[in-house]
Amino acid sequence: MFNINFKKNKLIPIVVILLIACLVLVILLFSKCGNEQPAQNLNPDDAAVTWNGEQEVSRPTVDNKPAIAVPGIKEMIFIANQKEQKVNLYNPRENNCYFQMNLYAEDELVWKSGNVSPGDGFYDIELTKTLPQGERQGYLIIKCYKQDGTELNSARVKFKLSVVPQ
Amino acid sequence: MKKIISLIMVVCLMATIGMATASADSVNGGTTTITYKEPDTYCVLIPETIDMTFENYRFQATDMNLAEGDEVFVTMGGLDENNYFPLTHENGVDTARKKVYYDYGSIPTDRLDMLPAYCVGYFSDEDTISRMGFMMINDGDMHFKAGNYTGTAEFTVELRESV
Repeated sequence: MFNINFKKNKLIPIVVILLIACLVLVILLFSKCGNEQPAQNLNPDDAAVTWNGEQEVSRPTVDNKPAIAVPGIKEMIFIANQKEQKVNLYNPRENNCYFQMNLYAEDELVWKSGNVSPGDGFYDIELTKTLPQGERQGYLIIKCYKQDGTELNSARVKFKLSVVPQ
Repeated sequence: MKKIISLIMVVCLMATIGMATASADSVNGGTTTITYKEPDTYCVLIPETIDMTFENYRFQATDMNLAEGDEVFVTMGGLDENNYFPLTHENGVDTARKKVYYDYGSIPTDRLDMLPAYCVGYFSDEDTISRMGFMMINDGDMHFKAGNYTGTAEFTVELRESV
């Protein structure tokens, strides 16, 4: 009987220390989570209307003449010796014409698109040939057409084409 | 039993110290240097077509975010050596031409020599309106068949880094 009590007495400080350690752990955990703002009841904006798809937005004009938005490119980076490449080529959604895009490395056509509608574009393209490592002049020639096929002014976007090893 | 309890205590203590250190780090911040280069972006508005009513034009741009000293040039293709631009009558047969004049506007004088040939637009910094424009004027002694004339041009857009 005495023996059991003695053992219990020795265990008490250990259990207390363990409990304190656990308490500190729990406090630390709560202090980390406590930075979050308490939940509040949010009110919806009464001015918002039911969304029925995009409406017609104003088209780009310059001096009241219709214009075409042409995204500029400073540099395009391709991976050497592979045809699949990552790009950001698009027809801005505010335009009112198709884009036909032709991508040149120096004077060589390496990719072309079909008719790209406003708001559409490409993230992945496949070149007609692989390119060796190095820097060269790149061009994106953008031919613009109305939906009825009428040709509009076109753009040639010049940029640095860097072909790097994988 | 004692050994097991000691081991548990050591683990708890280490965990507590580790969390305290992590908590202190999040308050004081580290010394990691993060380098990030924001790429230049710009979008130039070009006219849809060119016709006989086309006289003054100054390019506009959107989403302009150029690095310090970078410049965007717009040049016009399709001009002959005398800066004439050809237009075609709606009958598809008759032609007319208008002469292009350059309006250098507010381009810094030290940049004039840097302009490429047939330059009709120039942007730098966060310009949304070109610092130069162009005019298309009928030569007084030329008479063309009445009717509508149109033409299409290729505008070259190029960003040049500061040197």
